[in-house]
Amino acid sequence: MGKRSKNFKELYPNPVPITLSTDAYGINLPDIIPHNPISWLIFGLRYLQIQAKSIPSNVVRVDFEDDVFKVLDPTDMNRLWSHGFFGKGSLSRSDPNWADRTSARLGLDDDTQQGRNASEEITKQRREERKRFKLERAKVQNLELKQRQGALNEDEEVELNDLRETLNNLKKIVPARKAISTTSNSLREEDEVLLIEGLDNLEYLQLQAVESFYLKFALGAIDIFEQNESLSSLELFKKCNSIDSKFMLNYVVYHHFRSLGWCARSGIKFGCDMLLYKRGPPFSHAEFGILIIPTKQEFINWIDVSSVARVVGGVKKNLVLCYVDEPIEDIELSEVSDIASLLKLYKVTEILYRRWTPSKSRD
Amino acid sequence: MSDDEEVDAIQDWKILTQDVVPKRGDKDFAPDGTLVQSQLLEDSRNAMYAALAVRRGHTIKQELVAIWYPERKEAYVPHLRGPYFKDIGRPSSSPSNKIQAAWLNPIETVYLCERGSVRIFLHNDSYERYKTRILQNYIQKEKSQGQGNNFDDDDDEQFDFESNLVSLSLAHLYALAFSHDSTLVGKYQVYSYLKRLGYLVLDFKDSTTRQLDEYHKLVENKANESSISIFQALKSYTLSLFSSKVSNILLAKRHYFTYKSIFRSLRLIPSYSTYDSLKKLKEPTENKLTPCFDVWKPTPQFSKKNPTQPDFQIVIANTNQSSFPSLSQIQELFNSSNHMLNSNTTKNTPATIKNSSSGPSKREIRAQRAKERYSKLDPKIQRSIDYNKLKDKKFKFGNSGRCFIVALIDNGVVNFVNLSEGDFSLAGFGTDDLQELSSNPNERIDHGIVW
Amino acid sequence: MEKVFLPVVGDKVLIFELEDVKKLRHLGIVGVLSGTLSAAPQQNVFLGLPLQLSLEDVIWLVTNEHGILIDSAKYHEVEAAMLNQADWNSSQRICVHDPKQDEELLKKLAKMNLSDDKLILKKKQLQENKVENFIIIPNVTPLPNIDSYTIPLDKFLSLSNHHELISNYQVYRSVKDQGFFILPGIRFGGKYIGYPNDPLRYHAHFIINQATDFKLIDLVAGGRLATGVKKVWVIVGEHSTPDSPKKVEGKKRDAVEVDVDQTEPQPDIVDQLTKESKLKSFSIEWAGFG
Repeated sequence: MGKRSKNFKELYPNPVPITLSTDAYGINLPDIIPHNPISWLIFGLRYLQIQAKSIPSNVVRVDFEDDVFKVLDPTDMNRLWSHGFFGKGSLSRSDPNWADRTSARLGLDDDTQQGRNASEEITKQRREERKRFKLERAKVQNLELKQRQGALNEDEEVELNDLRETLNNLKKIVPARKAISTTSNSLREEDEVLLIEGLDNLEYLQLQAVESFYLKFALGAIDIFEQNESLSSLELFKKCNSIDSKFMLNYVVYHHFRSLGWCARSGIKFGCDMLLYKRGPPFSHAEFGILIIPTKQEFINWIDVSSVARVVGGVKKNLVLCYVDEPIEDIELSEVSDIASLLKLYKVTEILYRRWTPSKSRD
Repeated sequence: MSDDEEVDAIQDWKILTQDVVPKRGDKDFAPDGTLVQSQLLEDSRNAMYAALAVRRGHTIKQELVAIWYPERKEAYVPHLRGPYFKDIGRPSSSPSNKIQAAWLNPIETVYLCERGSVRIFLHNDSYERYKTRILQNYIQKEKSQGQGNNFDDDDDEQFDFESNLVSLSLAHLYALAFSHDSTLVGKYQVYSYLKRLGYLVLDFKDSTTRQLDEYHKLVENKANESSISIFQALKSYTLSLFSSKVSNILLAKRHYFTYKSIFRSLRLIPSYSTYDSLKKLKEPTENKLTPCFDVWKPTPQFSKKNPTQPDFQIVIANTNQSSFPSLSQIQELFNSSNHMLNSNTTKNTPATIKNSSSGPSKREIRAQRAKERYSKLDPKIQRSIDYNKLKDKKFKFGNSGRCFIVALIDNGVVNFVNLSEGDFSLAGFGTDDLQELSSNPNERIDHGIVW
Repeated sequence: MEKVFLPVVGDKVLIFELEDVKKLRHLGIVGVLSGTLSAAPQQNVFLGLPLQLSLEDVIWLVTNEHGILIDSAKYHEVEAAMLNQADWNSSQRICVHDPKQDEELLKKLAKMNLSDDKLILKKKQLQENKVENFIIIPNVTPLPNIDSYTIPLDKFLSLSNHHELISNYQVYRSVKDQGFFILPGIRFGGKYIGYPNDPLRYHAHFIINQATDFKLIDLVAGGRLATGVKKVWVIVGEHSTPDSPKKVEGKKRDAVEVDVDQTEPQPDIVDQLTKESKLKSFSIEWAGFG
């Protein structure tokens, strides 16, 4: 586990797609030792050195088409993914690795194993093994029913015992991470085009509205275009509000956690609004599931909260209820000019929700 | 077995007749019409019915009696015996010093009767007259033998309960004790659930006033401390000069040297900070939730009169009738809890289940190894590990430890939920322990940043 | 089968008679045991009498003529006054043989070095021991005239305030009438949980919720929740036609339901509960799971 995390730290050293000047120019600012005047001097010199250079900028292009925020260029896609894990590959589970995987599948890759170890492949393997297991188990259950009905003959009894043993063995097998072999039976009709003309990346990185807005308004890390016309923060703000009626609520919470350094992603897999990762999906599973509740909401069903709590708890995450106080007066969105001031009218309060088991709390 | 599997596993009632710890058995998916299955079902049912038929009661040696007073809705125990009264009952004056008596509320009465420990009789005049006679008797004894109250109780008149009063069946007692208040059955179910596990339970005591006092002291102390260094002030002033509100881009276009400084510049959304709910006490909400019980973990030393701080505090909610609490209701609960401000309690963190039988579990072995590795590390690194561990704990269990347990009832099924005061920004009260462990004592506002 | 008497305590129905528990089980009503089990009073896995019935269980029993609600407080108050208390009280003293205790006693006697004759005599006395040594606390008081203390269903329902009672009951009824056993669903994160047969022997199949104002994410959560525990998530709702009134937005209390003002019994509530309803149900589970 230690080795793997080291690799990830090297692969993904940056939590946001902003380049630090110290990294860009290789100039490190030393620590200031208050009583040591030389350290002040060195600090001062290096500081001025950096200030003289231009501010590193690496803006990614995002296109808004068909109501979707897309990043098309592969380098940009990679930048947004590896610097904070923004977005989702349109043809992948999360990170945009369609090109790598297809390359591996078609035998076009150079054995660098990038596509072969993708999480999609591992999942595929696991599912195939489980399918086998279920088939055998169904056979066992049928025979057991016959047994209860008293209709089992000798041969079937032997078969039943054999099958039971097989099942036990299957349970014990830990799926080994074998490299995926590229065999011809995985080729499809559509692949012809790719094989002849070369692999064009058909995938784009899809961003949520809150992600796009954060990257634009908060970080200034993207330029966003609709029909080749660039959108300002304000225009983007109004657009996001029009496609998502809960945009303000979602964004306020998203910004709150992102600005604390958390990697915040969609919680749809677990029936909640957001997931929080300390570093990002490749490092470890999400630690928290977030449920957003407007403070002014009158009636909240216990069953609804407890069902989300069960799902989230079932995957060993902690549920956090985020209550959001909204501005008292209704805001006319078309009249907003200063977004930051508007956002400051909101407030987030976290309440932790945990199951309590009296029988385990006695010591 | 995971929690989910546990919930739907079979209840094997046969185990009760075998003096063995209940195990979980196999269930079937669907009825298949076979005799085998229906026989198994019959067996399971009969095992259950047999257990339900086991009689409640106690041996003559353990005989314990109480008298239910319908007008008072309380039971009087004239002669306390047994281990039940550490937390149960309010002492009553009795004529003799040797014998202790107590009054029980409806919930305590039903609990003791239902478990078979106390036999309840219905009060009538004959018992009152008896009590008066006994009292007069003592007064006379005092006159003749002088004070001191060490009278011989043996020749006292004994009251013949069986001839004079009606004994109450469980159904009768429930009707008498719980009919006047429809919340009592639910409260009783939670109470008895906890009592059966050995917890000590008393009525809830509100601590809002104390919390408010402690909060005001904290605020005073903070104001007296020099909060921010000049260095910090200069830094933040110069930085603020660069922010550009005009273009509606939050992060100013300038050189950045650390990611932490970027995150600091991105902080914008106001968020709740620990103890903020005590800042300005609002009017009590319309449907103020009234907590029910103060609960203590089982402990041999427990004093009803001067109890220690409760380990848990319980409020009851019915899934069918009440909404999930609103934020103000939750904060009201936090304010009323027994929490000592700034005590850095690590309350309600799950207890490590001690594995007494076989050797150390895998988890324990791993923990032991981690401990060994840790002890060999550089103290600076040790501090950084401790710092991060503490942060994680605060994210998961709350910064202050202020919390409440909700006992959720759904038609007789009880589930418990812990609601705790969260604080991901970790920028206000309750962060002194983090401050001590942090590498840079001047940085007061960064504890919440995870990078 | 005779109707079962359903004693009301406060606003709940609690069954104290074991025979009634058995009868109800045959009707597919399982309920929740909520009392301390005297055989094992320091645990919560197995609980004993009384059995608590859910509101829906009660409505189903009464409207299908299987049960009668009884005012337990009044019943006991009036009838117990005429009880022969001497007989009643003394019936609770019994002699109980605890095989363990007997064994221990015999061991003790053996150690006392009694002559064989005396030992045999002692054994005989032990077996014939008619000395009462145990006091029972009975579950019920046998009293007459219980049917003079009935409570009509609408009055019972006015005692408590339940959110969306009528629509929830329609859901319950539609599933129960297909032969399933239904229990409170809180442990599974749903409103009800449905079993194909007796929960003692069979796993639950369904986590059941009413279909009101769904967001897609609720379907995701429900599907995942159920599939994760090898069940299916079921939503049941009224089939709306173009003419039927639309449900109010958001999860507010229905204006039609039992009012906050509890003093007025609503005479037509029983009609609303028993009226025919066209309900549709859907089951949802995650595909490609695992």
